[in-house]
Amino acid sequence: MNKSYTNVPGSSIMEEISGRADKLLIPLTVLLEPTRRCNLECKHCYRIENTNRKEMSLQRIIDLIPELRQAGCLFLTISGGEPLLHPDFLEICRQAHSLNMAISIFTNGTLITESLIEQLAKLNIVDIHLSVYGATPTTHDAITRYKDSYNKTINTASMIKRHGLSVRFKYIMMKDNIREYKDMLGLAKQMGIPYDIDPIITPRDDGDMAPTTLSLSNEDLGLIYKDVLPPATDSQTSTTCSSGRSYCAINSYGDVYPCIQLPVPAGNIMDSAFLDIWNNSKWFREIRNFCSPSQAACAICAEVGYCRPCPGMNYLETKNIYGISNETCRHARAIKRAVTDKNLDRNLSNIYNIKTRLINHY
Amino acid sequence: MIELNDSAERSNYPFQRIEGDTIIVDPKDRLMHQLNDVGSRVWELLTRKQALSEIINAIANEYEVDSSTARADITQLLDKMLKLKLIRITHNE
Repeated sequence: MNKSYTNVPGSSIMEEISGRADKLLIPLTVLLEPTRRCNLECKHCYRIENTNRKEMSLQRIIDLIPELRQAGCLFLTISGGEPLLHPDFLEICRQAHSLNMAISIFTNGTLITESLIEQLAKLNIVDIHLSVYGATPTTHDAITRYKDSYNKTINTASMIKRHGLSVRFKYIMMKDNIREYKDMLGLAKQMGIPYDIDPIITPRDDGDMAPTTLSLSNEDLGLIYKDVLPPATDSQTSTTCSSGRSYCAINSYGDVYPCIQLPVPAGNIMDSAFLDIWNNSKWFREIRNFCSPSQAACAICAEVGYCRPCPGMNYLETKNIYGISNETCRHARAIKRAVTDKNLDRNLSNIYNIKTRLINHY
Repeated sequence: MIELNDSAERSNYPFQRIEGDTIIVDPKDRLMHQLNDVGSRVWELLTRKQALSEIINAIANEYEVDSSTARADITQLLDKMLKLKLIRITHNE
């Protein structure tokens, strides 16, 4: 028996097993969409609902979960659309719990009731992530286009905490809410709720760039990276990606993607067993070869040390996982500026401290 | 202190086997635990309620160690797992 560590998932055990799963090609983490339907109409949403296609039956989902378990899945994220719109959402969670999977739920929080939380509390849920888009009802509801969604979500957060379950805020930052970001962080601190910040607005799954008009300006992006995210280091570029190695996503139509952000159907579990797709799909073989820098231009780029290349973003913008995503480049420039500015700030404060010491001495 | 007559069974925490190790997730205390191959085998044996004596015999046979070594190691392991709430113990008369 060896180590115990705190804070799933940031622990060194998590890093170690993720690394191992990447090398051994074990699908340690799977994101599952029981339904694409949603009761909100968020302006920035990437989701495309295809009413001509049939969503997976409950039975197929119930049968899929032991397949995922057998393949090595431990962390099952249940997402959507809005997963609580699935009439058998609790049944799906119970199946995953019965197979000892660590369940996370991504939800807008507007449909969660006290009675549902009492049921979820029996199922070893790791955490419930609530999407929050502002510090005020006006801002949040304007983004979700659903009146009173903010109040419902914040009340749900309190309710989840009261029942002893873990809850996190997912903050997606965009033009419409950036002026409230300090208040959003203040809200999380006041409620004692950890948060994740995502400054990236992605195109829709079909490549429609419309949501990206909400992307943060260069200046606001710099603000986020400088003030809010952990300090960027001088050498950020990771050369590989876990998609298709230790992670994949399955949408409500049964399509298996290497990543929710790389919506290329590697196979469909209505026709094939999951492990068949995971082991043999052409798309999974392709993504497992993905390595950055992916192009000669990237290798000599001034921002190469600050870039976080994403095959999904490359594909959504260029229809090629080895293409160059302009948005990724823009983020790399903002990260580099943030690192440079932080170093400058450190230098300035060092000078100030020396002067203070001299004055005190005299 | 766990006695020979006591029975142990594992909690219903999420877990998964990765190569020879077992990763266990404690969602309430937000901890992860990693068991090596012997710990993983003990975890496997605890799928149903088992007397400590049965676990010791199984490990002693499978790993070809003498009973007293197996007893000392397994008792120490189960004590730790009990403290970490990974198992439940039933004291039998």
